[in-house]
Parts: sequence; C-alpha cells; structure tokens
Amino acid sequence: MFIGAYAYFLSFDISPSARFQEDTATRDSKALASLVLPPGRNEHPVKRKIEFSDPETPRKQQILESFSTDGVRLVVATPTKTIRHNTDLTSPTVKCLYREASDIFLKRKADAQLDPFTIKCAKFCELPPNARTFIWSLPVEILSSIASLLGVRDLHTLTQVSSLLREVSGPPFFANRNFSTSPQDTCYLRVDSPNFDVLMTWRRMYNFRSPCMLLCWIEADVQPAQLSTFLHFLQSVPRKSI
Amino acid sequence: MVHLVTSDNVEFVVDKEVVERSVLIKNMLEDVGETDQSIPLANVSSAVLRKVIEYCEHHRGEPLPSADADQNQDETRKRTTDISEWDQKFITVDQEMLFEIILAANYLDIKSLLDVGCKTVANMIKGKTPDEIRRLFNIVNDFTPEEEAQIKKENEWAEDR
Repeated sequence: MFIGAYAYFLSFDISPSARFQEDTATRDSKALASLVLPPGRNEHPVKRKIEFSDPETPRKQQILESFSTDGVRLVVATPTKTIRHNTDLTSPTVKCLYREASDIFLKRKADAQLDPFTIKCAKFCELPPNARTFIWSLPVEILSSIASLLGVRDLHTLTQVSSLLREVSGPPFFANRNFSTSPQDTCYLRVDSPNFDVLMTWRRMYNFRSPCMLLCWIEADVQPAQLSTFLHFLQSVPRKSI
Repeated sequence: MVHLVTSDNVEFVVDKEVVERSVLIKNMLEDVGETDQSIPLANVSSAVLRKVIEYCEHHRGEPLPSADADQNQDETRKRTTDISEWDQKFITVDQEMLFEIILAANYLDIKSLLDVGCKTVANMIKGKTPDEIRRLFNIVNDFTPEEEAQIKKENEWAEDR
C-alpha cells in the first residue's frame, strides 16, 4: 500500500513535457534496438562477459560492457543530452567521449566481429561542413597503408595527432626505430639510449604494459635530454612495476 | 560492354577491358559469364564511378599487379610516394572526393588506384605538424592533459636532438 502511494506520488511529480521526453526516449531506444540487434536478441541480448581492466570512466565501462554483448552501436549511436546540445569540441566532456569512441573503434576493429564502418555513424566526430566522407571513413587497414608510406619523423608526428592515429602509426614507428614491443618483450625490454624518446611514445600507447625488467644500453655520448626523457619514463610508470 | 549501376541509380556502359581493371568486377564477370544484366555497385556513387572509369580508361591495357607479387617488390612500391604526372592531376580533387575514390578503389579492388589515393594522403601529411594535420583533416585532439604533457616532453627531447 505504501509502495503504491509512493509510485503514485512519483508519477504525479513528473511534468507532462518530461513524461513526453521520457516516452519518446524509451520508444527511440526500443526502435534502435530492433534495428541494431538481430531478431530474438532485442529483449535479452546474450551476455558474453569480458573483463576490462582499469575502466577510466563509468561511461567507458558502460560502452565496453555493451561492446562485449554486441550492443555497442546502441550505446555509441545514442547521443547523450550533453552531446546533442554541445557543439564545443574543445570541451573536456566531448573530448573524453571522442576518445572513448576511438578506443572502441580500435577494439572492435581488432575483434573483427562487427562492421568497422558503423562507428562513423557515432556523433563523436566533427564532420567538415557539408562533407559526408572524411578521414575517419577510411578503414583502419587503409589508414595503416597510408602510415606505412611515411618516414619515421612523420610517423612520430602522426602519433601526436589523435589517439586513433597514434595506435595506427605507432607500430610502423617502432619498427622504423628498431624498438620491439611484442608481448614476449614486455618481460625483458631492451632499449638503447638513442631510443629513449621512443619509450615515451610507447608509454602513450593503448597497449602499453609495464615491462618487468628494462635492459638499457647507454652510449658514451648520451645527451642530458635523453637521460631526462628516460627518467621521465621511469617516473611515469607505476611504482614497483619494474 | 558491361553495364554498371551506381548507388544513385545511374547506369554506365563501360568497355569490358576497362572495367576489368577492377578485380571485383573481373571475378564477377568470370563467375557469371557474358550477361546483359547490370551490375549494381551499391557502395559507389555516379560521381565517384565516373572518376574511377576515367582512371581505368587511362590505364587500359597496363598489366595488373599479380596477387602473388613478390613481397620485396610490394614493399619497394609501398615506400615510395611518387605519383605520375597524369595520376597527380587526376587525383587533384577535394578531400571528400579523394576519400570516396580511395573507398571505391578498395571496394572494387583496383590496387593501383588505391595506391595513388594512399600516396596522395601520405603526401598531404608529410612535413606537417600535428596541429596542421588536425586542421587539414578536421581531426579532434582527444588527448588528455597528461598525454599532452608527455607529448610536450617527447618534443622537448626531439628539439634538443
């Protein structure tokens, strides 16, 4: 009896316009789900539990979890109120969401289970005025092909443009600098002093994992700036991991 | 002659030798055989297909790169970003058309055209700063302040080098 009264109070409190928005949102969400999810999975999508370590934000956690249930398009393609009304792309919120979308794009690409082109429908990226196709329309394979045509300096520049281009241009950049970051090397990472700056680039990569041991070869003509960069790298990795 | 229908329902009648520069269409014609039926190209618009046909017309008769080409040859081809004069003139289009051509070349499997597109984008990137690249391609800087600080540190070292 008490619960019923409480529920009545709540429904009375919602204004007609708010109720209309809520209904519309629910209907849109259901319609989108019927488009995105295969028949029979609209109501109860099959959960494939994947553990994601170190989720940076609850929003990211939500997107990553939905990614594991193939419902990522539902979450990514449904813009939140903030995005709908905020066209300031320099704002931290939009930057954060853009970054999450980039991360998911890479994750999904690596997973190769979903259509890599669908992410462009998300409203996180700013399209040039009157343009339907821009650089993010290209699949990652083509972006990688473009990166493979660049020299080491341009590859390094590309790692500083955006998180997606960093992930695309990182591997050819490391290959050019003879810096191996393969999984077996995460135990014993060998690096010589001319490559200390590469450590900082690697530190920014999505797949960065602290190596257990770092074997350094310091040349006689090592520059103070090189040592400073190396020190900065050591300070930036979690304590006691090396 | 081969009939092609674009995404915006425009029909093109193209010489078989020209259209067979597309591995996708070549294989399709080999599988289907001689037919008067149109081939639908759902991912290509008429404006883009017109450009693609122009490219194929110009390169008619040139040998197609074989699928099992020597890896070293492929690597050498990849490293250079030189584009022939005609190709350079051909690919001088606005950015949207450039990316549409790249996507069409990828879809139709026209390796040489895909190479020209990729090389053009690579040449656009060469020698530019991160900010210039962002402005050129309308890319949002999505790095966190911490990452920005790390990048600054990296660049400090590069300047001292």
